[in-house]
Amino acid sequence: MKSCAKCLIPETAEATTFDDTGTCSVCNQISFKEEKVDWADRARQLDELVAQFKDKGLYDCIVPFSGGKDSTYQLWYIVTQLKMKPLVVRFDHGFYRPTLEENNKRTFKKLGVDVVQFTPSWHVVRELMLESLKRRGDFCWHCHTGIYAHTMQMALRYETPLLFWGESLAEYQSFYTYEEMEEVDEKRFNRAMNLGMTADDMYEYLGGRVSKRDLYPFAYPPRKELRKLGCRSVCLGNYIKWDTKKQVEIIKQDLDWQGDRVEGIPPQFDYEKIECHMQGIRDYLKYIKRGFGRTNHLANIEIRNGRMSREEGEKLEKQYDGKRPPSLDIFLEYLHMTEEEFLECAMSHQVDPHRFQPNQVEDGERMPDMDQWDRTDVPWPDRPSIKIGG
Amino acid sequence: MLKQRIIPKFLLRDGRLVKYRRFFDDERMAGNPVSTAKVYNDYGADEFIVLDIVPSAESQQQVRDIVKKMSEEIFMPFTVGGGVTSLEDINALLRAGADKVSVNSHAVRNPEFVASAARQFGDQCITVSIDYKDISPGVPRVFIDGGREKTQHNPVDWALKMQDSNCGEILITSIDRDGMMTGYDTDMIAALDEQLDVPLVVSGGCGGLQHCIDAFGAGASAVAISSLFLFTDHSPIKLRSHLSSNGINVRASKTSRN
Amino acid sequence: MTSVAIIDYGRGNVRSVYNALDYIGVDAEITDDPAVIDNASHILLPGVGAFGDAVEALHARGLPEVLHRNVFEKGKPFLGICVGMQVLAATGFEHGEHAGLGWLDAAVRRIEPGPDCLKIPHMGWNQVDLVSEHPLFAGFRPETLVFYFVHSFAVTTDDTDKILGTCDYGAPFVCALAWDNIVTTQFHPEKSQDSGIELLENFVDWEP
Repeated sequence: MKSCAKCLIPETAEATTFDDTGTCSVCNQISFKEEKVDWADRARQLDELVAQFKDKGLYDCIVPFSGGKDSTYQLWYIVTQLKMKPLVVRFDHGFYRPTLEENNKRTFKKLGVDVVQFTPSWHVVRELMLESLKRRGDFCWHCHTGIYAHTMQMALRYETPLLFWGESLAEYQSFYTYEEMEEVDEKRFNRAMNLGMTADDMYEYLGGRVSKRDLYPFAYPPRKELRKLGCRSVCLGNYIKWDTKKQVEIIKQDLDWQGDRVEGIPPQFDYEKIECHMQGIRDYLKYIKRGFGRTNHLANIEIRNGRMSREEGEKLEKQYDGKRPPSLDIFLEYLHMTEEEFLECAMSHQVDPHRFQPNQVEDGERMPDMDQWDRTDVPWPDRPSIKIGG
Repeated sequence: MLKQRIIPKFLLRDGRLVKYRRFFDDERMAGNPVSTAKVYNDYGADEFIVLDIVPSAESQQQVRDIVKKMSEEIFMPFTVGGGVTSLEDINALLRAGADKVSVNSHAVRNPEFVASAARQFGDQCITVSIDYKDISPGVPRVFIDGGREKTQHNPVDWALKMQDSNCGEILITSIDRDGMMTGYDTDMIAALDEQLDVPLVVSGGCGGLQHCIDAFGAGASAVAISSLFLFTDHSPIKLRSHLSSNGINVRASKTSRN
Repeated sequence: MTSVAIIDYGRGNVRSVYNALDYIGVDAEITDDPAVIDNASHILLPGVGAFGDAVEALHARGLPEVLHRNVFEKGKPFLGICVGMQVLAATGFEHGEHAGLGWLDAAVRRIEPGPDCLKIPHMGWNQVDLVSEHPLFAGFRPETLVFYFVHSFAVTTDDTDKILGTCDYGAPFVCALAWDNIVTTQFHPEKSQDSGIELLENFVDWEP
């Protein structure tokens, strides 16, 4: 497989292109961010935005919030720096971890914010996880659609037109560039979040297994309603220069935010993806499909910031990416699936030119809090087969 | 220069999207037509094709309603076909918002039809869709009525005849390769490209990124794709970035706003 | 208050233009009613079909006069798309020779397939090269100056000052014209996704 001349991103990464020098589009975006973006001007634009929406309704803005490093910093910045009153909206994907919940309790208390949380039905969620896994080799559809679609619905319900999301997609991927300043709208949702499958499509795929109203939390609200509200849904990372490491220091210091171990992630990145106990499965699937995992991604960020050499990155990647996460046992219980079925499904989604070698997989490390991850047995007698249409 | 096109192509049955293998086997539900069209618009696909595969008196109005809803949501050209048997059918689809109408069986049954449609609506509106399969090794024949009825036409000769009738574009589909995801019929593409002056959209067999490179290499103006997008994690964005990194002239689909 | 009159002369798919303007949230009406056109702030002449037929249809509805009044006397921003660009020429050579509206000294001729056997119609997405700056293209970058074309004929003119953009299909041809309050495109902004929507947004914001 080809990879970037500067970082380790391989050609199988979604949306990435390579220029004549073999440098990937993400590296070029980061150079643009460092050298060409007028951050003082972006800060002025942010001030204008804040002035336009502050003190107009029940809340000044909505902050979608998982409790991971990015949304915690977003919330900290909006409350302490922009002095806005946010409504914190959480979409519970079903896999929050104990450390995260404790962090959140502290963060909400310290910042003094109102919080609403929505948890979709597990019976519906697992249908969606299975169908999405079958069709795309990716079980996260319910989370990635719910986080956006349901939060936009909350903007309508609470008549709060301004939403602040976290980093720009240009920070890590090439769906957009730093020149574009993407609006977090339905186009971005269709392009980069929902795997090309809408709630209406899911309804068709599932052929009566779930009802239309079961699917409403995952359906993006109508454009006309959002326009009537005067909705602006923006990335904070397009207005302030995103710097994960610095931001993590701030939230650790100010909010006593605690990091965590995560499957497939080197311990020095204790801030990464602590919000989901199925993260190891997501990254393992990515490895099976595209030949790289989360350590590759983390090393790339370090390499782009001059904090790590390519060789160090490669070594770390080898050590952590592509290991079988122990949480796979829990995942297979959730979806009432065998490991053979899981692999068959995942391998049918390999992205050219990558080819996964299942017989060379080693076991990954077990996380200390794994015993506390929920394993409630919920029977699923009529579970569909893993074949699409079955 | 003109960009090479990526065109998601989807089939309608009773107002729902469906997908088969070799036209009849292994039916799978493929989603809601309007929301699917919108997703592919947002992905920056270059065009969209939707064909009603079991046309009937009832489905005709349903298709027109779907076309009208699509045209409100998508801002790229789209082609609609299936069961078109009169100039009035073409007019109704264009009025509903379609940019091009594809004609298949009726062109065979009424050899003058395409010429008169092109005269009335303009060449660029009329796509001739040709389905073919091998009746014995190396002997391809055009099939009509959704692959149910064999004709005596060789697909290359038939395409040339339709070009002479002033169609604006040819959409060629290999029934043998439909849904099989094993690659396009590059020999057929090359044979058509050598003789045709109108743009050529190729369909049937795409199952990987390299297949599209092969099809363009053989002379396709556009690749029509369904299984690859429906049943794998290859989106038009992935395909486009792969083609672009491999020297194929495709659109970047960026926005100017900042 | 911005309102766009989309000139209806009974040809082609004018709904797409309406849908695109509706998408960006601007008032638009498909009309051949002189009163509505007189009240609009912007005039848009769409077009699909043949040159002679389009000119004839405009005359049959008395529209050239109404357009002249609004565009030349009242100075309203005017956008002509595809055949809506071509009919402004003095002469067209599609299916015989026809007189156009004669807004500029130009002719509309068939694109000749080049030596490397280019296909006709010119159908698909192509790069636009701007000759000069214009508010219609404010904010565009080379990678966003890609639009959807579908045509077999193109404008040729010696009035080079009015050429705003060209496009390469075997050889360069004129794909956008602009002078005073008039701007035209051979390509279809209403079918050009983000680039087209952004161009239409620029048009409705345009105050020449």
